[in-house]
Amino acid sequence: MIFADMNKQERIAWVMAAGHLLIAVWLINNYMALLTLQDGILTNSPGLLPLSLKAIGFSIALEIACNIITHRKVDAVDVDERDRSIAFRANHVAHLAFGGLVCIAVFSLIPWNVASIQAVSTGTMGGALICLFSIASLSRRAAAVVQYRMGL
Amino acid sequence: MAPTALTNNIRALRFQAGEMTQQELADAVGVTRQTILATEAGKYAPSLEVAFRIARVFGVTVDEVFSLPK
Repeated sequence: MIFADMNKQERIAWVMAAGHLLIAVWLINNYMALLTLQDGILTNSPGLLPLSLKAIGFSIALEIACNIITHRKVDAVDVDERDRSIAFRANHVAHLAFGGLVCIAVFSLIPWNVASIQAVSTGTMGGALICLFSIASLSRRAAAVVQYRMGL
Repeated sequence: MAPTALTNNIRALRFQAGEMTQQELADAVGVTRQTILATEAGKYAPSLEVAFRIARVFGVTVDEVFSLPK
C-alpha cells in the first residue's frame, strides 16, 4: 500500500489536496453557472454570497482539521526540517499561482471587451477572487504532494 | 528542481554499524525515515545540524559522511 510508505505530513498533504480539489471544482462549477451578461456588464445571478461563504467555510474547516491532525503527536517525529522545507516551497508555488492567476484574470478583460463584455460587476470580481484563492490553495497542496513523491 | 550535489556514505556507514535500518537512524537523529531515505538517495541536502547528528550517530566526522565532488 503506497500510503503505508508515507510519513504523516505527506498523508495530510494528499488528503488536503483531495479536499481542496473537491472544493475548487464545486465552487468554480457553481460560480460559472451563476454568471450572466446584462447590458455588456458581466454580473451574477443571486446566490453568489451564500456560495462564497460556504466555500470559505469549507476551506477554513479543512485547514482547521489539518492543523489539529498536524499537531497531534502520533510518531516519534511528526514534522522535521524536510517537511518544513517542502511546506515553504509549496507556499511559494501557491503565491506564484495566485499572482499569476490574478494577472491572467485582469488581462483577460481585454479579449472579453471584444466579446461584448464591457465591465464586470464587483460581486462577480469578488467571486472570481475566491475561486482563484481556492485554486491557489489546491496548488499549494499539490506542490507539496509532488515534492514528496519526487523524494525531494 | 535539481537534487543536491552532495554525495554521502550513509548506506555504507549503516551497513558497518550492524545493518542499522533507516528507521533506527531516523530515530537516533530525530527526523523521519523519509528524510533519511531522501538524504541517502542524494535528493535532499540536510541542514548542518542534522548532518552533525548523523555523523555523531556513526561516531565519525561530517566529512566522512558527506562530501562535495569538485
